[in-house]
Amino acid sequence: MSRKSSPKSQRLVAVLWPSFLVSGVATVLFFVMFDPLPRLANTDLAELSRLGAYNIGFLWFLITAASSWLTCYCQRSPEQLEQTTADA
Amino acid sequence: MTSSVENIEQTLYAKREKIFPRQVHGLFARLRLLGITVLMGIYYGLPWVTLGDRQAVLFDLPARKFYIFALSFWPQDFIYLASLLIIAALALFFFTALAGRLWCGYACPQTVWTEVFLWIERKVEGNRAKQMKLDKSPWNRRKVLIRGTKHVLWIALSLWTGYTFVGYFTPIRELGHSVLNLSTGPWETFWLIFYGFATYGNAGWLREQVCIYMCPYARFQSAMFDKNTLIISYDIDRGEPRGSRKRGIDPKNAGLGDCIDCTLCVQVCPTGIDIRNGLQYECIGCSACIDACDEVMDKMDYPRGLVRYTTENAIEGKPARVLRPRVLMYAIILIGLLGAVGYSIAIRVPVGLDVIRDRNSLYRETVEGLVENVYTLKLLNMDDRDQRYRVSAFGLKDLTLKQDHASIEVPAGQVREFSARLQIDPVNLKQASNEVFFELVAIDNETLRVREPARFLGPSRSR
Repeated sequence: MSRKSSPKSQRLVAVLWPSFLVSGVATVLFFVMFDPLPRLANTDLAELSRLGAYNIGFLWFLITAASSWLTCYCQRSPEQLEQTTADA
Repeated sequence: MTSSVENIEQTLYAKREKIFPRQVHGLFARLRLLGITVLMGIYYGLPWVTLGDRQAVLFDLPARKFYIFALSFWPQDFIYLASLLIIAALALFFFTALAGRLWCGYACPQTVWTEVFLWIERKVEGNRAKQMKLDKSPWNRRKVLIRGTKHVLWIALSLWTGYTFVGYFTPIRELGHSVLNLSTGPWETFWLIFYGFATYGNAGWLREQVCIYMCPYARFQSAMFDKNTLIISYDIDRGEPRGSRKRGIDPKNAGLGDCIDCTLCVQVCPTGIDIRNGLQYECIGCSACIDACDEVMDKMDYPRGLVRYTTENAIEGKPARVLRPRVLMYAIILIGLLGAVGYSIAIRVPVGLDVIRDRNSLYRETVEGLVENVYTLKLLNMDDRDQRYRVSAFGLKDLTLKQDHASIEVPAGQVREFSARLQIDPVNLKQASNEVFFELVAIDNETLRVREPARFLGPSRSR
């Protein structure tokens, strides 16, 4: 088995794609339970439409992507870490 | 690390070789074409269907309402959406156990759009040989022109796909006007371009890599497989030893099997594998190799089916069983769920009632000496026409309902709030907290009826 990490493009997909899927599910579940309008009514975001709130909710994506990225980051083997340090 | 190890590891992750699937004709190609036509027709056509004065299928996110033909679903109906997804997943398991990757080969959007993109590619660049020649040729005027045309067509189709996608969430005709006036909202613009870009990237560029690296289903589908699952397989016993030969020669005399090693099965494969190496994870079960091989077998006057749909048991000469515990279990659960959801949608009453007790006071006593509780009633008309409702209350002896209006009109798809008071003579109260019911009936349609429990509080008996 090769211990070398997969190419950058594959790692990028491995971070972005699962986080996209999970944040999609999370956004749907969240907004099924909570209607954003009454919740935002007394805040600075009162002007925001529901659609706007849903889309901003989808920025959940940033959190799930961060989690996927951390997984990728921590998954590196000691050899790879040394390699990276040597390259730099 | 030594340099030789380094080299091997580099090649392990060699840059993906571009695949140019050869066009195939045959029974399964026709079936797939049928599938593609139907599914594409549904996807692109459905948002344009109207029912009455609204779009027949519309997921109206701003209004938090989903319309699917005559049915309209509210956030309260989320259970149906969840059940629908569970049913879809179970159906996928069922068909996978029964017939392998049917979904991947015929119905998956990735397959369907890739096929359409391949079709455009073939129309513009020509057949496989021409595509490969063009790919190798240096960039000149002709190549730029041909490739440019292909990408313009791909992008046009992708944008139309994105437009259709957004059209499921925003009324598509109005969206069309805003697109023409370049006045789409920021979210609409974003999702139109995003979905279009995803289509272009997935069907034009990524293709089989989506199935190999990105698809979760592809990763676990083999868990549903057993020895009786339909798979696409090459008949090794019959085919080997493979080799080219002159037509009309008896292969047995030449010491050859039926495989003439024409590699057509490899050339047609959209994921670029050789089915003769056995069942592989990359195989999406599109059966292009079956069609290709059958055509060759016909030309050689050999029986068809050197590559065919079969099962592991059948290859080993054991009897194949269609009905087995795994398939039956999936079928039973699937039918049960379908029945339950179908039944509950059929008996679903499109009216909702929420009862909220006034939280500011437990109860109060009227001048007549009656105990009174105040409630806010929230009335949801989930029907597609306006309704007038009458409210009644019961559950305690001589319970009277006081309200401002005898009946309440709620327009289609709207919510109305009103307050109601319940009064009772304290002698009829056995305990401090009592269960009462509010009942809502549509005046024009007695079947539109919903009952909701509530608490009625009074003085405690020990007083």
